[in-house]
Amino acid sequence: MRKEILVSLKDTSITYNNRGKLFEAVHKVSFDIYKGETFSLVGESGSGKTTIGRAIMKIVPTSNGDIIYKGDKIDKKMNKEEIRKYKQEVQMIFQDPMASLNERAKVDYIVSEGLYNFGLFSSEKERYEKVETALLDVGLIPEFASRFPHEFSGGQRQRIGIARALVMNPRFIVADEPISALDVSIRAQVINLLNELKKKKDLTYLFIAHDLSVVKFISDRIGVIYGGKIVELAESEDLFKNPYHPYTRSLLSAVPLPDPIKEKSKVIIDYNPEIHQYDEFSKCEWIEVDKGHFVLGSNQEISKWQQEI
Amino acid sequence: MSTILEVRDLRVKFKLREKELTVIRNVDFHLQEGETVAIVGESGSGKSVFTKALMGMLDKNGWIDSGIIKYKDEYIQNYTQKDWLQIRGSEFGMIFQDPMTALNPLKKIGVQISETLIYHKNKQLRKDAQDEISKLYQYNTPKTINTIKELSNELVQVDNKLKALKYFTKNGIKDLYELIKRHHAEIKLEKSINVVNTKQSINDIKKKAKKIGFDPTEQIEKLLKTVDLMNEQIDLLSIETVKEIKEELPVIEHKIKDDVKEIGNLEIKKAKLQAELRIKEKLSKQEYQSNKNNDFECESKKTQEKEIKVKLKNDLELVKGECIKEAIAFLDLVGIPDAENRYHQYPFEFSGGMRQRVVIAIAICTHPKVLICDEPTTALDVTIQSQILRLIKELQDKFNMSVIFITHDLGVVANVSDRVAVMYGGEIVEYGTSEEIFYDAYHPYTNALLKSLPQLGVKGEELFSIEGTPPNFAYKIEGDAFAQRNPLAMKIDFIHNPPFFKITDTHYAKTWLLHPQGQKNLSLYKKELK
Repeated sequence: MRKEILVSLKDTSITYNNRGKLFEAVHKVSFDIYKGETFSLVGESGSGKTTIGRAIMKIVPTSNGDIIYKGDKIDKKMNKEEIRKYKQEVQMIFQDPMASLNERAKVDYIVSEGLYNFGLFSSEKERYEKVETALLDVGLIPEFASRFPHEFSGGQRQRIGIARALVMNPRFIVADEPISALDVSIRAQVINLLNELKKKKDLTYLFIAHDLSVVKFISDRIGVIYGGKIVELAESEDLFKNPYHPYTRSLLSAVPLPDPIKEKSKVIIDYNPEIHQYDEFSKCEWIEVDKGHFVLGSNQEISKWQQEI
Repeated sequence: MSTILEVRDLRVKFKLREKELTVIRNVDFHLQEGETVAIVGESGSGKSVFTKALMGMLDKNGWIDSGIIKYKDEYIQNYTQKDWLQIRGSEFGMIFQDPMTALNPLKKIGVQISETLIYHKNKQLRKDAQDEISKLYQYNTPKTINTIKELSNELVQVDNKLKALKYFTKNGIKDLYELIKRHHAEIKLEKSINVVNTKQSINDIKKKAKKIGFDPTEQIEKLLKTVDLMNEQIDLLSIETVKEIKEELPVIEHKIKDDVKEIGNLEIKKAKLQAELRIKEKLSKQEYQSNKNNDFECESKKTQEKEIKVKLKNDLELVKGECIKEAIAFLDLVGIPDAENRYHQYPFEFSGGMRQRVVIAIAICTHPKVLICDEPTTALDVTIQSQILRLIKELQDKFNMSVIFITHDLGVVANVSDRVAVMYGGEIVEYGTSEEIFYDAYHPYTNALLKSLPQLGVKGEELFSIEGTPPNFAYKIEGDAFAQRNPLAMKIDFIHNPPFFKITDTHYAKTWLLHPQGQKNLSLYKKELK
């Protein structure tokens, strides 16, 4: 069965212009996100993973390549009607629930702000019903609508952030480190909630994170990103079993294990990008080593890494 | 290895909107020299407040209500801000959670390190100069100075002894009452278990009777009789144990009486010492006056004083240069490349991991004995987290520090800690070596924390999560604080707060599951975990 492609990036580059100084944050990245899956981007801060998310949201423009959503190119000038339709279908969840909610607005307004902007209701009663169902979906009671964000704990605030995205009835959600700022126990609650919503509403996620242990649990496929380039892309089990690229290995070795004996004897692999020596004979290419498992490197390197596994 | 920091029975209270909240509830804690202890718990469990109390950094509306904090041989729980300035920094160092807010954005990072160094060095220099000057004008004979010094030392010792004794007599009586109270709780527990059991068996009998069709009254009466007998036996036993405790009573009371006597003696000794000291001081003052009047070298001494002051000024200038060099050395030590140039950069020019390294450099530049790390890696990436943890470990070995490590992530704990203390609702609920906590935890909260780690989750299944939120300190917490969120909580958990039960010499847990009556539930509980 062939899966339907929802979002697709083709040779996308994103360049920031800082007072005339050009800085390429993302360099020729291409990947597809299938409908109904959770695709994760993992990398350290500054690697460009958030920039990709923002480019998909049309917050930053691309300098090269295409971003395609449901067969239409979206990184171009769109007319008002197209933008409205796109922005309604694609929503975002932010990292820090303490900073991303308007402190002066009641939950009712925060959740229904999108509805106001898009005029998605015919009567006040309908709007309230929509807010109510969104709150119930994320496990909050509708009475919370009349309260202010400061009355909630971190986990509840993140739930409000999710309700705000859900109320627009989106098809695709970009979740930018939604659990990095949360406690371990609350982390588990939010992960469960995201998984449950995905099944219930048939959503597709782009999940951005730096912690591989969390990502393994939630995602179908994982792309590892380093310095603006995707260095490895594979199904999540496959990536954990056979990590090819040395950067993926270093990320895997850095995941803290809840086991003192293993943890104290474990070797942390440091990644040094200078080990790659590319010239005319060994070009750096995007190579499929296994079905659905892509690695960035030269042929020689990949055969060397393969032996190491 | 000796104990460097000891906390006993610490209570910290906060005043909020005319209400007193007890945020730290009777915590015992100790730290050995050179070891790392991790304090684990969710946000709102009181772990940050606890370490702030250790460093005298509580907010203005908070205070230490009772208990003792002993650092080396000093009792520091009653220190004023002025006293704290003497030991904070030089004895205790702290690394904060968010390097973004811990650094001053308007100051060069090098300056932020060297100003710490300069402050501590200047303090020493000024003190030395002051000593030298006072030596110049010393008109008392060395003998009188010595006697006064000895007397005041003795006075301090007696005072310390007195404080400790008073504390223990107060607690000795408290312990006694606790013993009796606990005994009554046990009896209540046994009886309530009996009642539940009988109710169940009566129901069973009734059901069976209905099925087969015979009169159950006779059997029920029999059962009730046996239950009565059992209760009687329990009462008998309880009378015996109360007797035993009461037999113990005179011994403890006798000891307390002795202690009280001792306290009286010490009080008398203290008063005597104080009087003697006063007389001696008066005499020394007279001596001082007479000698001063007979001093003919007054002029030359004044010039000497001026010289010392000029030298101090020069020294203070010189120290600045030294400190800058030392600060660069520290930047190098914490692994910041090209330290000399980066000395002159501002915090915004650094990445998160590098910024945290600067915060660490500030904390360790005065060579503290105890380093408190308050969630040092929560705001950082996984790769950088492992680097920072490695750095803290290296520095600990190098400077022989003891480290208190606060975090909510048990994965981080496995890497760094020798011992782990799990905190919930302002109490430590379980502590032990990290192996004991990770492989053989007893308290339901510890197990719940371990279970909710995503590393241990199975894909496709729902990840375990603790429902609800930590307790609100605005309401009185009754029984085990975690009972409200524990689906397998027993009846007793809601009524009585469990005491610590010993598992091994290093491993203690505060849960009724370890009580002889709870053993049955313990095996059930362990099964549920698997």
